[in-house]
Amino acid sequence: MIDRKYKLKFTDSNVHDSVSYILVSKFNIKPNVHQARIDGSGGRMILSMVGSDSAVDAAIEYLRSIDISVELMENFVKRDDRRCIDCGSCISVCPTFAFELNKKTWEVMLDTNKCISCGSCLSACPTHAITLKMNP
Amino acid sequence: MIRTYDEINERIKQRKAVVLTAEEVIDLVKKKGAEKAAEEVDVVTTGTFGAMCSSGAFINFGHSDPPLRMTNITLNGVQAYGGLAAVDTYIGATQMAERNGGGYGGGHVIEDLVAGKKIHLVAYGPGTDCYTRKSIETLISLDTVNEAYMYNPRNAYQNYAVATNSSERTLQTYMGKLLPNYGNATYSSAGQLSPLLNDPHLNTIGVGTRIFFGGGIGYVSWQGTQFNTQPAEVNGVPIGGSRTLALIGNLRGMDREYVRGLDIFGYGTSLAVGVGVPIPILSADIMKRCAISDEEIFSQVLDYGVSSRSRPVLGRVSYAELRSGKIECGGRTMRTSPLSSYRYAKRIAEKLKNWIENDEFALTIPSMPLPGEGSVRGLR
Repeated sequence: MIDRKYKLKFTDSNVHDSVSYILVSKFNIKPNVHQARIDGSGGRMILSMVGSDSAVDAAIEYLRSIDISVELMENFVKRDDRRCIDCGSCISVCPTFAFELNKKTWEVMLDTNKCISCGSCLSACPTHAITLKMNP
Repeated sequence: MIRTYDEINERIKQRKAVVLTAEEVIDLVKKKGAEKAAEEVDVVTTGTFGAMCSSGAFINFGHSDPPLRMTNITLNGVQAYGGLAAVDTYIGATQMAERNGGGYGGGHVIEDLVAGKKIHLVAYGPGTDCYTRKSIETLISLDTVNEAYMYNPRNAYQNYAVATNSSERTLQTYMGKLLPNYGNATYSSAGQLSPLLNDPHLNTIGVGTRIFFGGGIGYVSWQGTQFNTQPAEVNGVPIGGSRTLALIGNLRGMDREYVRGLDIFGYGTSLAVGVGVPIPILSADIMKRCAISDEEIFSQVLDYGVSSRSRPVLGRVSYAELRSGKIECGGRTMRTSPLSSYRYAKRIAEKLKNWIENDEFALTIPSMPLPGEGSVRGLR
């Protein structure tokens, strides 16, 4: 089982496709839509897929075949450790719990895999330590 | 009294002083009791590292030739005070750069100075018979100026409120980003490591107390502004913002690591300053108070969604709950964010401990106690 986040881009030719339904019914994948900004001309969606390696691979191949671009979201959030002062302002504003205080060292830990690139932490960080590779 | 300042300093000189951080003494006192622990421990060190908006620095630039009486002064585009003598100024942490875009202010100028960077000075004056020059544009640094010392009118708040937001929109406050509908809660005190929570009635901290200040050495110069002894106490410590310290210290000798400009989105700029105060264990009572833990320190949850000087109190929570990551308050569960760095607070207490153990830091006897009473007035 893997749990990964992907950015999907739609065009006007495929906005009518129900991605979640396809993933569940055709590939037995558990989708979770984190963000979607789609209208008649296209748009983008950030979703995670939980399923077996082969199912996820097959689903991606299928989505690409209907012209939906699929990009794995990895390390979209970056923290500059020279700027970070481990204050923790970012922790409670993150909807996916990507930041956590290490209760031993009191370091603010960042799990980049949990990030959905929503940008909520950017305006919470007083030292400009956090950047997003891709702005939503 | 079980020992005097002089006896402690003698032990420091002999490198025999027993120094523990305010975190380390919690278990010791639990195990052995305050009386026994007080016999063993000479000094307890504390620490805090967070936004302290009432901070700034005095600088004397030295005179140009011909000289200029500076009345309009900017440092890296940040306005500094022009109402002192010809080449003296004060730059405040919350003064923001005039150029648009923001994100840079007086706190950052001070950080850059401490980091040894060159600072762009632009100054104008009226031109007088004694100061004929009318303007100057040049680069200064900590190496070129005469004096540069931090003087912070209000630091090291003894406890502070917890902030949440009942309103339907996100608030960007000096207490950080507050999500709508009680979406989160923020707090800023270092709790069990915080200097003034470990000597709550200032039995040992007074004018002249030598401290860890921004990575260097500083002193308590006065009571801080808004010094307040009125808030209710639980377990011997106030449950809201109360006593404060005015601090002074040379920028030379400070470390950029503990002097950081902050940009608090939607509020403005500030300065994070590292402060650590040593507490001499002169009695078992002082020892007992140093052993206070996050479970025993409480703070009030205030609703920043209500724009008033006296914000509604929603409940009371302990620092142990706050540090767990979520609190229960008024039937709601809220996720929490600290605003001050406990990691740095610990590091500061440990560093100060190290200095004392290695005879690099001696304690001073306060030359005057801070007030036993104080209250805060509003403005009509």
